[in-house]
Amino acid sequence: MNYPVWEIPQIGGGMTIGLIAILHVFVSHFAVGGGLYLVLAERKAYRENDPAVLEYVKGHSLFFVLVVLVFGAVSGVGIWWSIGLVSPAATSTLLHVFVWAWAIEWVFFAVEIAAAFVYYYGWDRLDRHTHLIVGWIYFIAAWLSLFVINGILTFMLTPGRWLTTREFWHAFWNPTAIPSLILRTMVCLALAGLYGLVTAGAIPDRKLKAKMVRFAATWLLPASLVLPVGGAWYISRIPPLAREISMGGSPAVTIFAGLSIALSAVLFVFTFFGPYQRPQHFTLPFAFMLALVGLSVTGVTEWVREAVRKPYVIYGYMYSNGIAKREQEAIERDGALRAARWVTTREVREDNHLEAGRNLYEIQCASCHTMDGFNGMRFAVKGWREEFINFQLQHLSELKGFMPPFMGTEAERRALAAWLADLNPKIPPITEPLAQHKALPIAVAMGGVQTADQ
Amino acid sequence: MIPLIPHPGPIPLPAPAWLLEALLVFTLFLHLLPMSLLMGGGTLTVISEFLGRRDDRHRRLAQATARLLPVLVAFTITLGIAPLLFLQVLYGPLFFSSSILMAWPWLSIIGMMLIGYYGYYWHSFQFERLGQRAVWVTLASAALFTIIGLLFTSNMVLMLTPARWGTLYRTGRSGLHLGFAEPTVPPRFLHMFVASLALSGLGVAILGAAKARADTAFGLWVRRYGLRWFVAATWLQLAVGLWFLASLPPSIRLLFLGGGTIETGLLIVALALAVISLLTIQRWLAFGTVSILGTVALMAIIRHRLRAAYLASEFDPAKLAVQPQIAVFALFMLFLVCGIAAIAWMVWKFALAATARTEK
Repeated sequence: MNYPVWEIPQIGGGMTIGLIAILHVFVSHFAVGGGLYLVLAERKAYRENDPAVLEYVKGHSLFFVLVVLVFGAVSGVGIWWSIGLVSPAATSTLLHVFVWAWAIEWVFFAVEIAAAFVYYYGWDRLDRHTHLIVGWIYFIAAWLSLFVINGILTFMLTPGRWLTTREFWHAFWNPTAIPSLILRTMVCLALAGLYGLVTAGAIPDRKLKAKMVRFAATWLLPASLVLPVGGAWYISRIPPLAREISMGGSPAVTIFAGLSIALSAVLFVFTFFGPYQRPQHFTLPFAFMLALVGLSVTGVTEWVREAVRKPYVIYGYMYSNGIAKREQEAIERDGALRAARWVTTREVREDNHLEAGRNLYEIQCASCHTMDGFNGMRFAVKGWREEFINFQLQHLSELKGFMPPFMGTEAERRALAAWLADLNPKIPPITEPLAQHKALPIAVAMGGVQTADQ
Repeated sequence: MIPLIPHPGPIPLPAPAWLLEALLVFTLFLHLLPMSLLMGGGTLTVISEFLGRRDDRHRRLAQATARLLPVLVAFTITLGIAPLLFLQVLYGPLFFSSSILMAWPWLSIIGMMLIGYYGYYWHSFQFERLGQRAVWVTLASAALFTIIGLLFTSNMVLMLTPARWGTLYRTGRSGLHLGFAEPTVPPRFLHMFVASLALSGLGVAILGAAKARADTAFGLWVRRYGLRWFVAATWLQLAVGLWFLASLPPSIRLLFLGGGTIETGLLIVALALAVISLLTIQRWLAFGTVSILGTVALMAIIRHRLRAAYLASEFDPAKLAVQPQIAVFALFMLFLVCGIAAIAWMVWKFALAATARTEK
């Protein structure tokens, strides 16, 4: 409302962020766990005095650099870029609350990048002991950067006492920070194993392959034991509405939440009976299939995590459309258009009510809805009469718990309803029983234009 | 469409604006160094690769610089995050608005960065195998990073010129604007690009000086060649800089031409340091380098003054509410010191191992 709106046809803003974010999460958790994987695999090579294992670790570190340093780092910047474009108000809030936390995270990130370079280019230069220390520095810095970002991410769903105190530490050590940190750390280990299975599955030598496949598969075991417990703890700390949404309240979210659990179970069972039990029979296509399942788990889980936060972007503080709760009263008293920037109308008049409606759609709806694509507005109001839309708008948050209430004056609400009704073909379809006897007057009111749809 | 600049929101700054501004300018200065070496270095590598088809010295030089490019990308991105963070905290209402107007080009930077980065890695790892085709990979990556630079210039100017926003927004809300239409964008970008050629030339000269220890003839040639770029680009900068100055709105231009004591003073000292560098660098490479780095640092400050001048009547971060988070800031400083120490230790070990290896 405060900022201009970026209209993304078909996929919408949320999906644009999601596409970047899911790939980033899949790589960035590997960036953390993979660091530990490298160090422990390297140490294993030294302990067993096995040059073949060492060669594998070197190869894996190249893969690691190309995936993590390039894709991981750039896509992380990409999330930041995209949230600023889609949800500038929320991004600005997160930056202001956590400026120094972001700055600290940046320090860890810089150490992480530097250590990765020294580790990779230092294989033939540094002595074993120093090389291992550099690997440890990498892993610790990477985990610490996860630690900081985890605090900021969990704040969005459970800002906890910050809502009343506005204290940095209350925001950072929010109710889900610790359970989420445990979950994410486990995911890091699991993804390290999953990527390890891909590189180990590509080893030509059978004996070495079996050894490294088994080693990599072991990395998924802690997660399979801890995730259910940690997950239950996490769910017990999230807001009740968020829990309800994911457990039946919203069918799509519930299905995805179920998929997250089912696919995780599939991943662990197949890993246990496949590469862990029978590493010698493991193949590269199987590794890719497991990785694909892993990516799907990441995708659905992150999607659910985002979806349950509705109707807020920062729970209890700012709605998904970037309007802070504290602004609500003034908006309802003085009007949304008067409080808004970047609109072409300041008040609803006879001659501008459709344009005003369009403005209201932009500032209150467009951050989640597209016109014809994902969450398509035209489809959502298909066949609805203006009066019915007006009624819905009065009770949005009760009718659809995951939507913010409409905020504005009555005239504004009617303007939005008129504009939304206007998305429909000028005469409502005959199949709508409510519409039947009203069809003619509406058509006359709208200028009596018969469209080709009829 | 009446007020456009968004209001800054209710959450106060966690430190006084001057501190955040100082961090913004300082980290931008740090970012400018690898960024310049990356943008100019890509161009110089392409040129040397083409010349290297006939001249073996150029081929060797291109191979040496190409190896550094992926590392420079990492440095540029990493050191770019901090100034962008402080920029968004201080100037968010302006920055987010202008970015949204050019959302697609702005977001496409991520894709271009990814492709350009992989291109440099591919080039670096497969230099021999790619043979004559290698140059096209460098060319593509260098072109992408140059376009990224142009988009950055465009957005940095667009955020300073809210008067243009309304028209752009009215003509399209799909975030497809490029923002190139402002007269100051081409000279401002060219100013950065020519500076990056100069600094990269200097970087090549330093590389040559380092190589001269093992291979005197080649190293000295590289040093001479790099300095030629430095000198030529810096002279060219006089013309580009004048064009840039001429393209500024008259009231702002005047500040740098005697109207503002600080602005004019900074510009004179920056130019003097550049002249000193030009005069001394052939004989004293280190002294000339320090001198030109002084120019770059002052230019980062001048750039900040220019921004303030543009926004004088529109937006002043010093007026934002402040509620210091002293403990977290102290923690940041502590981690910063530890982080720098850790990086220094690793680089020191790495460099030490390199010398040990060469001496064997």
